[in-house]
Amino acid sequence: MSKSLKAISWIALYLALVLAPLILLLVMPRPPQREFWREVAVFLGFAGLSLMGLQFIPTARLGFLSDIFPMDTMYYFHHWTSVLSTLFVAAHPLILIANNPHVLILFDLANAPWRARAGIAAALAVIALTVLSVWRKDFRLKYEPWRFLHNLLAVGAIGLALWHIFGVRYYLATPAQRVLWIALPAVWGGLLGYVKLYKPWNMLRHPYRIKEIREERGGCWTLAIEPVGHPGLTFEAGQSAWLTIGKSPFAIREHPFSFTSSAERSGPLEFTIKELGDFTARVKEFEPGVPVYVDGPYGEFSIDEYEAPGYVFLAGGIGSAPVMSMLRTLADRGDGRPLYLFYGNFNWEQVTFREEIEALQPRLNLQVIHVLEKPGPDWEGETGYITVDVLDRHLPDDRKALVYFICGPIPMIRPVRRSLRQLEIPRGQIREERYEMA
Amino acid sequence: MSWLYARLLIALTVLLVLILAVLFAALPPI
Repeated sequence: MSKSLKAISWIALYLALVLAPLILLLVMPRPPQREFWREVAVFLGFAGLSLMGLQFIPTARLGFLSDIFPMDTMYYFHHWTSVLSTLFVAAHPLILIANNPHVLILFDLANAPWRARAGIAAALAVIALTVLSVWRKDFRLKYEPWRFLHNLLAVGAIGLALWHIFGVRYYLATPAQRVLWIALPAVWGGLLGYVKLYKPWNMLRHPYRIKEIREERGGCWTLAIEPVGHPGLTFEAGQSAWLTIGKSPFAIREHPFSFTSSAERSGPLEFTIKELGDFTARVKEFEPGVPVYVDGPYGEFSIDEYEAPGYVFLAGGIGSAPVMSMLRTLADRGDGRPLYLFYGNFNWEQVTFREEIEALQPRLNLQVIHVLEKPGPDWEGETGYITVDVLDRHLPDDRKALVYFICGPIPMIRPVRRSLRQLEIPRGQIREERYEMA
Repeated sequence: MSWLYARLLIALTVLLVLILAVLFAALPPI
C-alpha cells in the first residue's frame, strides 16, 4: 500500500473513532428533545470529550503512525485538536448559560450537585491544560514538571467529564448508551496503558548504557550508548529516538534526539545534544555506565524514505545532527550521488562537526556551503543567512530533481522553505524537521 | 503533504462535528 493510501486510511480511522460516539448519540434511542441550543451545547460537550479521549494518540509515538506522519506534524495535529476540543468543552456551558441563565445556579459550588461540580472541574482542567501548553514558556514552567502536570490534568479532566455525564444521565439513560460510554473510555485507557506501561516495560527489558560523552563545537555533547544484553536497534539515517537517561523508563522523563551515527555501523549509537534547556545542559554531567532507555527509532526524515539523484541538506546549528547521520551513512555506503550541505551557524568556532564534515568530504561527492552570521574579518565564504541568493549561487541546474532536507529551529526553517519555493523546488521534494516540539 | 493532511483533517473534524450538532439538535429522536 502506498504511503498516501496508508495516510488516508489512518485519517479515516481517526475520524471514525472521533465521530462514532457522536453518530451513535444521534441514531440511538434518546429521550425527548429539548431546546435547539441546549441540545447543541450538550452535543459539543460530548464532541469535546470524544476528541480529548484520542488526544494522546498522536503524541504516543506509535511506530506504525510515525512511519507515515512526521513527528512534528503529529505534534501540530495534537496541538490544534486540543485547542479545538477546549473550544467545544468551553462552548458547552457558555451556550447553556446563554440559552437559559437559570443554569447559573449550578455554578454555585457550595450548593451545586456533584455532577455539576465535576463538570465545572473538568472544564477548568481542560482550560488549564490548554493554557499551560500554549503559553508554557510564558509561565516559565520547565518541560518535565509541565509534562507531569499535562498528563495529570488530561487524565483528571477525562475522569471528571465521565463523572459529569454519568451524573447528568440524560443521554446515558439506556443500557446501550451506558455501555458505549464505558467501552469508549476502556479503549482510551487500554491505549494509554499500552503507551505508559507496556512501552516503558519493554524499554526496561532492552537497556543501554553510556559508553562515552565527548564535547563538540558549539556547546554540544555527543552521547555514545551501547546495548546491554541485546543486539540493539537498527535505524534509518535521519531518524530520531526518545532517551531516558539515568532514570526509570516509567518516569516520563524522556527527550527526543536525532541519531548522529551512521546507520550502516553496528557499533554504539550516537546522539549529539546541544546545551539548551535544563535537561540538555545536564547531559555532560552523566558518567559512562549510566543506564539509558531508548524509545525509537521514529520519523521519516531520512534519505532512505526519498529516492533522488542527489540530496540537499539545509541545517541551522544543531539541526545538523540528523544530517551528520545521513552523511556518515552515505559515506559508509560509498554513495557517489551529488550532495550539497548549506550549513548556517553563528561563527566559525561554533560550527558543530566542522572537522568531521571535512573528513567525510573525500569519501563523498559533497559540496559544503558554510553560511556564517557573524564571521571573523578574514572569512571569505557566505555570510548572513541561507537566503534565496545563497541557494541560487550554489545549487546545480538540475536542482528541481533533488530532494531537500531542512532541519533547524522554526525561525530558520520558514524562510529557507520560502526560498526553495521561490526557486520553484516542488513542495513534495522538501522535507522538514523542526527542532522544537511542544 | 503531511501538513496539508493535518490541516484538512482538523477542518473536516470541525465541519462534521458542527453538522452533527445541528442534526442532533434539529432532528427528532429516531
